Amino acid sequence: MMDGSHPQPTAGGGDRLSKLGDRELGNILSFLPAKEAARAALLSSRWRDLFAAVHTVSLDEPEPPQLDDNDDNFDSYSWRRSPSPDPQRAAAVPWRRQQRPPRPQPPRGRRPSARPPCRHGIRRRRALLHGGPVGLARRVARRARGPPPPPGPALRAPPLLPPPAIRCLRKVSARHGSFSSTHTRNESFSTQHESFSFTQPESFSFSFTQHESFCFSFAQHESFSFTQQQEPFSFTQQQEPFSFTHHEPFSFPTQIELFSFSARVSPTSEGILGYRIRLGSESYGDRALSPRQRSATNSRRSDSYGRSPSPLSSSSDDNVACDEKAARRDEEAPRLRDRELTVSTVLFTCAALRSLSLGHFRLAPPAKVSLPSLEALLLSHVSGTGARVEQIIAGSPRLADLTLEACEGVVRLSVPSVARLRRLALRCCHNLAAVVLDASELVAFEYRGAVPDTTFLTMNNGGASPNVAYCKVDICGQEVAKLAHLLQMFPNAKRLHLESAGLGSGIDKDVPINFPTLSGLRRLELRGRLPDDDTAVVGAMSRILGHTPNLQALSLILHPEPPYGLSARLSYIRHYNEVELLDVHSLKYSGQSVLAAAGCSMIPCLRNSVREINLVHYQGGRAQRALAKFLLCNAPGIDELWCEFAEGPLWTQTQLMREIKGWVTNKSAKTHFL
Amino acid sequence: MASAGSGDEKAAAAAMITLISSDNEKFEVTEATATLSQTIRHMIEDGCTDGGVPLPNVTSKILARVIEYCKKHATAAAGEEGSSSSFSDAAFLEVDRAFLEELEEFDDAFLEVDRATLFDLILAANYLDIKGLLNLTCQKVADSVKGKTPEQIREMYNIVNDLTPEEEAEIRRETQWAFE
Repeated sequence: MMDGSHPQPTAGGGDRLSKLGDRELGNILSFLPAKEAARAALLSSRWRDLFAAVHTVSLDEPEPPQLDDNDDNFDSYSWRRSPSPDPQRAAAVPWRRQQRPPRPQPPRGRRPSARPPCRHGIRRRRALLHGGPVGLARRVARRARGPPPPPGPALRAPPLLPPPAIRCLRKVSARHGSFSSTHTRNESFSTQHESFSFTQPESFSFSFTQHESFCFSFAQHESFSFTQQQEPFSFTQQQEPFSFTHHEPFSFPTQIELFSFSARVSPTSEGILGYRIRLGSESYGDRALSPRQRSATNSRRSDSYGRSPSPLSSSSDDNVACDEKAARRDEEAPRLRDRELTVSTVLFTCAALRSLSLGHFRLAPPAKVSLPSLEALLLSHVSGTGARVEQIIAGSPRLADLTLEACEGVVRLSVPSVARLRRLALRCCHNLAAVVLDASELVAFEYRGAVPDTTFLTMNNGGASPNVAYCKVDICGQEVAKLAHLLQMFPNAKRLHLESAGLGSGIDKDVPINFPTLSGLRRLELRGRLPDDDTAVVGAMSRILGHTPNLQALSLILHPEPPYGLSARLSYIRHYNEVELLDVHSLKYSGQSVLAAAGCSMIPCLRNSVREINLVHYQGGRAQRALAKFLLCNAPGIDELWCEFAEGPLWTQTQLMREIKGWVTNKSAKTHFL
Repeated sequence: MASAGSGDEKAAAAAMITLISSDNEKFEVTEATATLSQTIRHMIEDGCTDGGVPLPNVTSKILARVIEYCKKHATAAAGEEGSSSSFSDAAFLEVDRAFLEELEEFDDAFLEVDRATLFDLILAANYLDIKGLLNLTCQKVADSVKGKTPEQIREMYNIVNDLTPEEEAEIRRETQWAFE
């Protein structure tokens, strides 16, 4: 109907498009690439200033390949692990429920990287963001149950209605070293943005430059998030201070995310990120390079240094003097770095705040914390003891979602009973020895770290088993055996992710007589490496499957061998360096090696209930083939098989594909090879 | 159009809301369907829906389409409604993929309307504050102009160019990056 090649007279005649409101037209333009949206100014005087109503700016289309198979609806804060820019996800959490249903989750095994850029994908992901803040503010304002919302701009939603500000700037660029063009664009955007500063005194002014794709999103008044999506390949772990000073008239938004950034420094690209956030004329964040990063990148660093011209000053001079200025700021860097910043206490009395994420701060909440609206709390690399965290939780009666990440100072955590957590995530909190919580409403649990002690988790649930439906465990190391105890606490899990350095390792030997029977489990995902010399994996797998009688979908994510030169300590972290993904040949198939016949051990769940099997990053090594053969030959009932091969020559992949097809017992099953 | 929803909204099925279009036609919908509209949701929360919700900006023809959309999408939203308001991650809810694909097909078919209707839908979606519908329809318009020159777009949508050549030049100068 909307076939553009046949202009049709609109009913009622006239230009109905231009008669739509700013908000609608802004929404329409938000679906266009930035350049096209900006060019719309040429249409007529009505359109001239409409770009100001655009709330989503896409600098590059289409989407880059998403390299992370950790992509999961559940993982709303997968900012550390997801290399794909997805500001929407981070920004959308509080108001997601107003939106359309979540995108159908691809089977675990399907890595989105293999999916061509998909229009619907873009549409849906954006749908999460659009128009959120206004509705959200209204909802917050209407939430009469909590204490009365504080007066202040944060809740004055109506003035936002024709929102003359970009709510989200999305930069999607996976190119290396294309600095000049990126630079130009960024400059354009800061210039573009400056004009908003006059009409929107509280909006942010910023600029950024970086080789790698990264993104952030921000929304004036209501949501302020600044998130790095790209996990640096080299995984720099030094703590970067993020300076954050409080300025009295600043009313806190409903969502705050402050993360310090680590620049990407890898053999293939030198990317350095610098940024400064301004709020009106007040500088809120300024970050400079750490000495380590600078020593790692000697050349070209100055021109890749991002900086922000003052919103009120002409930026053209800055352009010229970019290099010198950047160099000078480098000199100032260490001063900033030596301070470990403390979160402003005002933050902990913000009644409208719904989602708070803090990274690299010293936590020193005031004695009386009052965050009546807070629902999601994420603390990452925060120094502060468990008592401090408890203090915050005690003041957050609505808290449902708690994530602690690399909080070395937290040793014991007893979640105050005021908070009934629905989701708890503990990632890399290596010193954490004991957690006590009221699990009556807990539905999701996530853990990453060493194998926890048997006394690690205590759930007070009135004696009943917690109703946790989703459980994700990522073990840094080989030993999975002791895990049984942890899993035993979640007998009702419907989905289980289990990640360890070696797939299923440890389970074969000592399997635990007491390995729990997970009768509710429907989806099981195992992640880990499966090297060629692993001969025990079939045994381990059959043992695991013996305990999951009602399993429906099984996904195996076979990690690649750790990239050369990475320390073993970091090897459990998946690194998907883009260049590697494109060039590396990781198939290990050898046609000569003959596999032993798959033993016909009867595994009830494979025979009866498993309908879907996913193999991701299948490298075709001996052990992997043996495992695949075992699974497929014993699963007569599967309807769907997804297999994504590791990178490598097509002919090898084709051979592997033929072989796999031969194993599938149910010849009518759908098979997908990516 | 005025019948109850698909029946699997358990608790909500009982509560019906009457929507009254600009031409005084009455539509009875379930609360679950109606609350896809934030505007109506707020009215329900404020308890001012007794005796029907007048929607003076929406004709019966458009309202019928909007309700059609909402009904379809409310079924999907119903699953999420079950969980507490604070927990938005629904991955573990075992979303039925087939249903969502069907939903997508529905959306595509839903958009097969003439341009006037599309604009009316945009206005209605905006007025009723139905994010999904607004995005769907706006995307449709955006897709129709994507890759077109300003001249083509003007012709397509009967936009009269009232800019002077000087103004045009100024715009090109201001947003030079967009014309590279």
